[in-house]
Amino acid sequence: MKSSKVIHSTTFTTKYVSYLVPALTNIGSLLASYDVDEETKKMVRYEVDMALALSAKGFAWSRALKHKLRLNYNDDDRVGDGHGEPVTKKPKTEHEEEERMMCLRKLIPGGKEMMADDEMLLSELGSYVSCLELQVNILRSMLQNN
Amino acid sequence: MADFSEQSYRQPFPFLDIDPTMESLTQFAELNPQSFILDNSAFNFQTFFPLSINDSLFSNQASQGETMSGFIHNSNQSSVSAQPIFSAKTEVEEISNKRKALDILESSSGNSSSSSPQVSETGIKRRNNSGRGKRAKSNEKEMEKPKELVHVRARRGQATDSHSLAERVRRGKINERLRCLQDIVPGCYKTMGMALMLDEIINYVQSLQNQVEFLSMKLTAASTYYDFNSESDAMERMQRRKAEEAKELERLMREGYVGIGGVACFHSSSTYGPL
Repeated sequence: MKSSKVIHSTTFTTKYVSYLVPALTNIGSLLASYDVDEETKKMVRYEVDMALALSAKGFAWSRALKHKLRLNYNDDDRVGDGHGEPVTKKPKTEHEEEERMMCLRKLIPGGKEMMADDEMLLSELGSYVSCLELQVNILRSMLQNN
Repeated sequence: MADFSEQSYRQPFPFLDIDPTMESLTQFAELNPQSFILDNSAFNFQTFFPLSINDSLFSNQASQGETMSGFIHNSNQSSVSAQPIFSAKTEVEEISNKRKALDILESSSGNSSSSSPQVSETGIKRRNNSGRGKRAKSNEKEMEKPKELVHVRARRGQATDSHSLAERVRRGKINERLRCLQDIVPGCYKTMGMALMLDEIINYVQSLQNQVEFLSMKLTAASTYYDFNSESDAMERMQRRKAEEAKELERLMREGYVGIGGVACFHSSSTYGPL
C-alpha cells in the first residue's frame, strides 16, 4: 500500500538539478567538441529521464520509468521519447472515455500495467504532469544563459 | 408565546461577552425572520466555540429549522419545561462540548413526555447534521439511526442495488481525481465534460514530453562546450523563470491565446528567445 505523496517543487528541483548537473558535466568531460552524436544524445536523454525518475520517488510511474530506462540502456535500444509509442490518433466518438484513458495509459510510464484501475491512473497522472512541468522548467533554465 | 420565548432567549446575552459575534449573528437573524428563534438558540451554544463551527451550523439551518422549531414549539406549550431548559443553557458556559449541550437539550426535554421521542430523534438528527454538514441536504431521505460506516445515500429516483452503488462510488472518486487534474493542467475548464478534459490532459502531456525531448537535444548540443553553472544558479534561474512564466501564462489565458495544452503559449512566446 503506497501512500499518496505530494510533490514539493523545491525538493524535486533540488534533487533533479543535483543529479543532472554532475551527470551532464561528466558526459561533457568525456567528449571532445566534435563527438556530439547519436550516442551522446542517448546518454543525455537517459540522464534527463533518470533524473526525473529519481527525483520523484514513491510513484508507480517513476518506478516504471526507472525500470524501463535500465532495461533499455542495457539493450542499447533507442530510448526515444521514453514513454511508449507516440500517440497520434485521438479518439472522437466511440467509447470516448475508454479510448482516452487508453491513450493516457500509453503516455504515462508504466501505464499499461495500471490496466484496470482508472482511479489510480488519474492520481498518478497528477504527479506525473507536475513533475514533467518542473522538469521542463529546469531544463529551460539550464539552457537559458547560453 | 413568541414574545415569551424571545425574552427568555435574550436573558443570557448580557452575561456573555460576544460583541463581535453578535453582529454577525444578528445579521443572520435579520435574514431569517422566521427562524429567529432557531438562531438565538444556536447562539447559546456557539458563543463558546470557534467561529468556524458557527459557519457549519449556519449552513445547516435549512434542515435544522424544521427540527429545532419543532422542539421549540413543544417547549412553549409546556411553559414549565421551558424555563429549566434555558437556565440549563446558561450553564453551557462551562461546557465547551457541543455534544454535551445536545445531551442537555435531550434530557431536559425528556421532562415533557409528549415531545420526548421526537426530540431524541431531532437530537440525533442534529448531531448527524453537525457532524456531516455536507449531507444535510439529503436529510429527508436519511435513515433515522446514523451508522458510523461510510454511507452512500440513495438520492430520489436512483437505484439502490449494490452494483450501481459501487459504480457511483467509483465514479465519484474518478470525478474527484479529474478535478485535481483540472487544477494542474492549464486549459481545463469546469464546464467541460470528462471527455474534453481527458483530451486536454492528453494534449498537455504530449506537449510536455515533446518539450523534454527538444530540450534534451539542445542540452546535448550544449554539453560539450558548455560549462554547466553551479546548481544554485540553475535553481535561482528556474524560480525566476517560473514566476515569469506564471505571469505570462496568466496574461495569455486572459487574452485567449492558450488553447490546446498550452502549446501555443510556449512556442509563440518570445520571452525565452532562441534556445
